[in-house]
Amino acid sequence: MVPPRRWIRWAAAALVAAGLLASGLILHDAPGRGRSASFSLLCGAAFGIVLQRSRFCFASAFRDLFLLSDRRAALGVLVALAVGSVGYQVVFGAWVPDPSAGHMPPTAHIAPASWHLLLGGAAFGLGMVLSGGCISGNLYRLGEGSLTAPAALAGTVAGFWAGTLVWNPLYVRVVSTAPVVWLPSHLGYAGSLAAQLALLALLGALLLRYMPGLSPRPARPVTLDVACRKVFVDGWPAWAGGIAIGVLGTFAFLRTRPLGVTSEIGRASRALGSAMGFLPERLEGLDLMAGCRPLDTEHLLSENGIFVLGLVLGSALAALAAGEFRLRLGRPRGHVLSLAGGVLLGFGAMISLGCTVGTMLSGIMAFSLSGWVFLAGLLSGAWGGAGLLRRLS
Amino acid sequence: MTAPKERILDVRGDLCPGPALRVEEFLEQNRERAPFTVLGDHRPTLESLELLAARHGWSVEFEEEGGDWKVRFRPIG
Repeated sequence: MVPPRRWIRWAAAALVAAGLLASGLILHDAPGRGRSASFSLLCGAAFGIVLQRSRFCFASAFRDLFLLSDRRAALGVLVALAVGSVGYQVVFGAWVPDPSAGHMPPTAHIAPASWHLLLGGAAFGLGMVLSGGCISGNLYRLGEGSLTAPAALAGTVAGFWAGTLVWNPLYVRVVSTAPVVWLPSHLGYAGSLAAQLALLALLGALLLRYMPGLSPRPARPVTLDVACRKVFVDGWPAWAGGIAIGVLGTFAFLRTRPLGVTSEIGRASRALGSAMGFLPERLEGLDLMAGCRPLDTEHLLSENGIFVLGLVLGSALAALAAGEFRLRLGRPRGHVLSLAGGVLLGFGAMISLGCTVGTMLSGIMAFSLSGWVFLAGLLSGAWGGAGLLRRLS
Repeated sequence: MTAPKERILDVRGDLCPGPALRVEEFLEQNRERAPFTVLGDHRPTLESLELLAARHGWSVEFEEEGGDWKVRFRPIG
């Protein structure tokens, strides 16, 4: 007999799923919204489900290499980048037939690459290790019931303020003159895809060679019960999460905008800071930049905000169905580290105009050098953060 | 004579990488290699514990109890 607690969480999961679908329908027909808002909500929910089920954590991907010599999450990120690169290539080929003609796909996250991305990546990498997750990681943990995630997100708002305060001089001196390098315009589509897949394969081979994992478990006969448990209860393997995120990233880019989670948080932070009167009124060059820049909206939530809301609800839905939803108060030290890490996350995301999702994932999938530079910064920050965390533990 | 009570390491309420770091520290301090049990409530941590156990020469057995986990560590050899 199914215990009553299980019925309660299944009912709660069904309620969240019904709420998401109903909200999608309402948004579809709401004045000033429409299909793209509805898609953003459901895409965000799908992203949240995939993150929660496959434990797709960017912080873990970088941190665990240095802290636990664990390669699983990093391999998942490499798979996502490879699948997304192929998907973006197909979309690019349809939109910009000749990449050498000087036109770039307008909404893709192809941004200026300079040391500001190394700095932003290092701050973000350190911040995600200290706070136990990047911004998307903290959002999906919020959906799982983590009560330390709000501390990280509050810190992120403060970090956005710090980043906004340095943006104008940084833009004038560094960002405005930094080169925008889109690999297909130099190597062509075939050349850039081959080069990027070769680099990802090399990184994967290095991880497989020098970071041993667990021996494969003996295969069990697949029955309906076993299959359902693997999908809804046990975590998905990181590679499966990587494939799903690569496909979702392509769909999101094709249908609305590249995946990203910081645009709305940046907008809300800026609105709050401006209302308090300590942020500059004008931010130089922001309207010209590709990436997760804060966008004005006439609504309470922008479409990116709807995506983020969908992410949290999608994660809650998956966690409830799996029996992994639990309000976790966390230890006081965890709240302090989350807050401090959050400030670094916000600062890094503001000066890089995105995070591990918008600048790294969507940037590399779009064959932009900026994504790779940000990744190098993330590695250095995560390395420093892992050392710091070991000293603090 | 009664057998010494098995030690329990309670990492419930802690999210990754906290449990893995605490178990790793415990493994390094546990020089007599006495069996012990970890109590946890965050399923994603389990695979990290399995990896740690294999690297330090321990076998692990998992048992679920109402959303909480017991991970029994036994020395190999």
